[in-house]
Amino acid sequence: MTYEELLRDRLAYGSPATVSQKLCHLRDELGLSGVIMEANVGGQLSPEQVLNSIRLYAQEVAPSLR
Amino acid sequence: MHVALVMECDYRQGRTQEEAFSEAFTIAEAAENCGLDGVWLAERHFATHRRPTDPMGAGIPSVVSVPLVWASAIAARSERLRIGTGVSVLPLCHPIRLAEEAATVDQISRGRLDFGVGRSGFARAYEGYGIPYGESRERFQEALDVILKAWTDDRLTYEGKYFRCENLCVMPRPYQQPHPPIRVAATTPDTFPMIGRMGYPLVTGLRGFDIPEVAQNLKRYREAWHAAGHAGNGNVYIRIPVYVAATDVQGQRSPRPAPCVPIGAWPRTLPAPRRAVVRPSQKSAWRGASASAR
Repeated sequence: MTYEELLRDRLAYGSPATVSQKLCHLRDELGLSGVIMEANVGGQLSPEQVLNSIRLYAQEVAPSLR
Repeated sequence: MHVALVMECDYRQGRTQEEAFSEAFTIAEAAENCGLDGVWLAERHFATHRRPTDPMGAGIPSVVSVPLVWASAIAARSERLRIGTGVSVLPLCHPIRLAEEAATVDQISRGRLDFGVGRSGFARAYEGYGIPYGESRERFQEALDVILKAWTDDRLTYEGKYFRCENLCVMPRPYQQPHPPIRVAATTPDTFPMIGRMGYPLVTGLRGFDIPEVAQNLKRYREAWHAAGHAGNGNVYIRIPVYVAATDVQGQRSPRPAPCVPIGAWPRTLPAPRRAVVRPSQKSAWRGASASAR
């Protein structure tokens, strides 16, 4: 699988708008009760990047999912 | 809609275990302060750095082998967050002990425990505990049965294939009544209808499956749910890699991974978002780095 395919099918990476759109689509398609973020798959992100990503996920993505 | 994150409590090359603990607590604190609904603690055993001569290494090392101990510490450091095990590997522990520990965390957190359970796909952990992986499904069913009875029966008497006990009053009782919410992990296709029949909420991920496959598995979960006569439509929680940055470019830039990513070898072969844009001259260095991390 290429990175583009993974990005399309299995990863929610991007701006708050892009990630919201992907996760809302997933929620609707699969009938989800919850989304659980894997915040640092591969362990390549710095703690600062992870914390910033968690903050954006909680404050800008979560409201659109709820 | 429950919006949460999973804590694998990884530690990266060049960091200490002490730093991994402190980073993990920082993440839990961020989850509490930013308004997430919960954190889910993985259970990873013998998760050291992998060396070519050492098949025990897990590729990505982690310090979370006892999620309920972590859950207790996070409970003491938070007030609002739900704290889940994601998941407790039931066959590796004595079920009475697990019932006592989970009820204790539920009391300490004043009812914030979500008890995620599973049997884990890591046969390696079973080898380390001296339990045949072939017994994992039977042991899982029996352990879950014992734990639920331990929480709800006045006096527990149980006669199973692996566990026997008589007239026990298991203390403390959970704070949440009749017991903390149960979430069952599903990773293999035949597990989905089994959980549906049992009538439990399900936790799954995108490891090893693409979305149409997950949809198919969930269909079988819901069919089994309805066939067993449970009310509602089941509840599904999904784990997915998420990385949010200010822009798409920042969130998605990543070096090309090795030409083909074998799915099923998750998570170590999945590309993570990287810190910098990779120029052609750096590609070999990235490949070297990812190869040594496996």
